[in-house]
Amino acid sequence: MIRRERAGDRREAITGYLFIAPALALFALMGVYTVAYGLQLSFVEWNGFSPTRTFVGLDNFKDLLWADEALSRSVHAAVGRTLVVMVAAVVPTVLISLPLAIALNSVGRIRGFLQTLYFLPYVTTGIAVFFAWRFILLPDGGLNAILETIGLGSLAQSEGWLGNPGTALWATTAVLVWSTVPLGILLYLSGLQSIDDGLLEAARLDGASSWRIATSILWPLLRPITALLVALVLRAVLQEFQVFLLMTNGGPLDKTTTVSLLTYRLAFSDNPAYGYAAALGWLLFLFSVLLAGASFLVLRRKA
Amino acid sequence: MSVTLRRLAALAVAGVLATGAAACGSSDSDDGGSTAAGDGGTPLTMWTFKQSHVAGLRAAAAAFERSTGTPVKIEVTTPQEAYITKLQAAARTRSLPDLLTVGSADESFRYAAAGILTDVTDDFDQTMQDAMLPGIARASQLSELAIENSKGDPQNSLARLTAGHWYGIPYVAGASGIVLGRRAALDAAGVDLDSAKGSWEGFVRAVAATQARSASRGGIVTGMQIPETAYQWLYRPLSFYYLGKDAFLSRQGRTHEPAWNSPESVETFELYDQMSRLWAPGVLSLGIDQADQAFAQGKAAWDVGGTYTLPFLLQQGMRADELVMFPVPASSRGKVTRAELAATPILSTGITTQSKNPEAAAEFARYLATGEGARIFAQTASEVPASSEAAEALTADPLLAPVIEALQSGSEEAFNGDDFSADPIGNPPIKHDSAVELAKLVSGSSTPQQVADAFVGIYDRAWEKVGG
Repeated sequence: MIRRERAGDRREAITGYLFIAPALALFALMGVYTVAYGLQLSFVEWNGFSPTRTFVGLDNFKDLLWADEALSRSVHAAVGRTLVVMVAAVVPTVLISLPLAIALNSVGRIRGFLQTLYFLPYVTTGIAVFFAWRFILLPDGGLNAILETIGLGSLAQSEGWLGNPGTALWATTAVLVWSTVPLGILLYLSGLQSIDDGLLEAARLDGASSWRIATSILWPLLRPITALLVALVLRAVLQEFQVFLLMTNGGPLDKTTTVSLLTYRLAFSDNPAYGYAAALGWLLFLFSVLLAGASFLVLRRKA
Repeated sequence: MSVTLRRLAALAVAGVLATGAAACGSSDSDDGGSTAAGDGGTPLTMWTFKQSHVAGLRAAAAAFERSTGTPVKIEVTTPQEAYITKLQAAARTRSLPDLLTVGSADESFRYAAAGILTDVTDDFDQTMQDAMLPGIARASQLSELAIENSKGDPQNSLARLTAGHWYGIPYVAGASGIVLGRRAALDAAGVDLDSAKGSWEGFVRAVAATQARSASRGGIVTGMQIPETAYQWLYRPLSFYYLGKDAFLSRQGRTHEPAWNSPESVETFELYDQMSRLWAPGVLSLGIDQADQAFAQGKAAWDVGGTYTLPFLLQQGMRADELVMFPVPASSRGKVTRAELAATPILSTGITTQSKNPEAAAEFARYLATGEGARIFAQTASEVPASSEAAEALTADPLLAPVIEALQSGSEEAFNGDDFSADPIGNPPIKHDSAVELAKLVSGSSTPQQVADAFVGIYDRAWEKVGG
């Protein structure tokens, strides 16, 4: 009897393994292999064409960080810009999406319609949208026209918002924020809907103002959501290169070349340097892991 | 790992890489063939990355099939980054076609050094070399200097190749450093065209005149989002003429003589800086195609590019009679006061080491370079052919005639805009850093002296790296 049960268990286990085998095989090929291949590339010098690769040990990492003066200077500058974008994207995303979520949560009948409306940028973000933003930010584009119309012509950029080295990074970051705010609204809305109405009702009965409720009750209760949103936006900033590639191609004067775009350029140019690209990718990965670890710790402590 | 497994793995990696390349959003692959299987020789396949060349190549291929019975299938993959990724994957999986479109100098050498392209010196014989526009054969030949300068970079070293040999047969020629003007805007501003063509100073005055007439539509454009464009197409010819050929080449070479920050070199940056206030609004945010489109839409009176800019403008709906076209003029104070352009080999046909029919492939490459195919291709694609005879046929075109004549001069002192062989070879290339520093003049964030000093640093570091 017991033996029969064991045989049944074994058959069940084998069936289970067979079911997950295709997914595992696919992961092994597309995931493990490519990750291992990428790691291997980071220790060689290879232009993608040469039949031989030159093993250089940790030289690619050293060159990127300090040994090659020209290259490391580009990397350091790109890291600086990436850090700026991280801060400049995260803070406005939180500051814009939380009030919008609170307002949406208090709306009655048209909440669904407004939710769809606010979520549109998230589902439409892509090549066409980035190009549309490009046109808006041109010297004769919509943003300058609006500023002129409302009497703020002195703020208009004669070189366009993407053609001025002083504004290009901020303009592309603003587009990035525009594309991440919907995610923030969605996360905060789900958090708000999980808060007990009785708690808010009690605060109102005690005479708390809306501001007080938002800062002393909602904000602390939504802190885990904020930590999650911050982690997601930081991840997006670290990995996102399309917005910079399509809107500015890293220009003008390399002022919008972030680490992810630099990695892409090192690999996909007419003179590819896969070793450098892979090594920079791994440095970016290590930084992401550290960041994720820090976010996790903050999240746990606050929770 | 078995060969099959290796191929599968390489395909998987290529897929991942291609996905990355495609992520830029403008990757496009078109496998449309040009011909049905012929009744004669083994079908050939040629890959190219120029969408605007497909019709011309297919027309030439069809004519080739009629005369030889060998069909040639033309396949295009754009943009160039996706094309390169496809080549890398195909080279590893041994699925390269018979023929490739490659950049005539650097690229053909690099691919040959990687074992992708064959040595075509025997196919590109003296008769063929003589049938090319002046200077084309020599400019597409591997030089001892290029081999020497590549030795510091093992991955891109050309040491295994032979100096004096060819690794591709040129079929598209041209020149960079070409100014295109919108005739109506020039007339409206009262521009004296002879003065504009005659000297750098006259050209600057002409651009200032069109810009004074319309600040928003009278400026000059080029695809400065990629700063290499203005560096290669405007600054280099200007400084070549000002310094003279020898000083121009030795300034970027191992001897650094004259130094980048020497008085005469700084003067070249000052001359270039005269144009800084005359660029069209937003020029630093325009890519190459966007700049040409802006010019075609009337948002600028002037456009700087190469002979290859013209077909694009015609594709955008401009008419030839709306345009004027001339080489970037020389300064009246320089060593060379009359601009002379060397015909530069732009694109070549490379024969891959994996071709199953290399003899037929070489025959088609020769047909496209100097035969009837050259004429058919040039006329269909509106490109300047490498063939002297096919180019001669284009002199009837009033717009192209002055440029074709300039390219036929064959002068030893002519400017070759694509010749970077005196530069140190390394990765990443120094061209980008140099161009970014130069673009700081346009943005007003550096002075000519500061740019010159920055060039000193860039070249010193690059030469130190390759052991110069």
